[in-house]
Amino acid sequence: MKEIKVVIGHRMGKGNNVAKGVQKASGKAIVIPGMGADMKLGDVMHEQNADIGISFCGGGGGGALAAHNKYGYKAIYDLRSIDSGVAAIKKGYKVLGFSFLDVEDLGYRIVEAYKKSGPDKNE
Amino acid sequence: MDYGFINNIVKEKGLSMYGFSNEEIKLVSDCCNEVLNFCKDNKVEFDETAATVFIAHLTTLYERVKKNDFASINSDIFDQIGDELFDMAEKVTAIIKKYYKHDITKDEIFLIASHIGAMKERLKEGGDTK
Repeated sequence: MKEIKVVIGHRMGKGNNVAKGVQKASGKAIVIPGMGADMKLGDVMHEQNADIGISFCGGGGGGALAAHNKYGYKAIYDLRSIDSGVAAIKKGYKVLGFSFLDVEDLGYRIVEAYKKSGPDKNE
Repeated sequence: MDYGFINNIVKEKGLSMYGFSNEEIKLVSDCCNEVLNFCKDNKVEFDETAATVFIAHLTTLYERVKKNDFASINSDIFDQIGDELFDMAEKVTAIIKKYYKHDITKDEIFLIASHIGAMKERLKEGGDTK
């Protein structure tokens, strides 16, 4: 089974709780360190050939917009809940922009949703 | 840095997500232009990536002002933001208030500070290099 790679860019360099959830779902989590990590999301996704990117920036995921503008990733922003993130994955979005929602369940459910509906359907 | 792309970003986000009028797109674009130039004059010149994110934020902020629905954030998140950053964010907020004609909450000022702080970090690392 292919390992699902998720890059996490949080404005204040956090995101370890989401990372735990990604790992719990057997995915690989890459947390970008430092203030402004969300602005590096597209670059790190590109370098790592990641499957999913998650941006946290308070206002709703400008990092996702930047990743879309620079690399053309299909991105959605202003997400506010875990369910909205899962729905976005089911619709084929690769980059998800949230306010601040660094919780384990988000990482877990995003990876599980990707397994069921992502391009590789890793079920 | 030439910020000629401001209008396109405000238009893209403001029109598609919030249905801004042409007047609102101009108002938010003018605000972003003055804010970015203020930062530039104060030794925090935003590169294209960070400016894109900040402009998107200020566009969304305008929508929140309209709805009086401000971000509410656990202040522990902002533990890395010191007085100097917060002071500059307050000056930026004064510019925003001039355009948006509304008070801005402390949590929102922290968010603005996080943009300025992030750009300061990027400047230390060389900014847009890729």
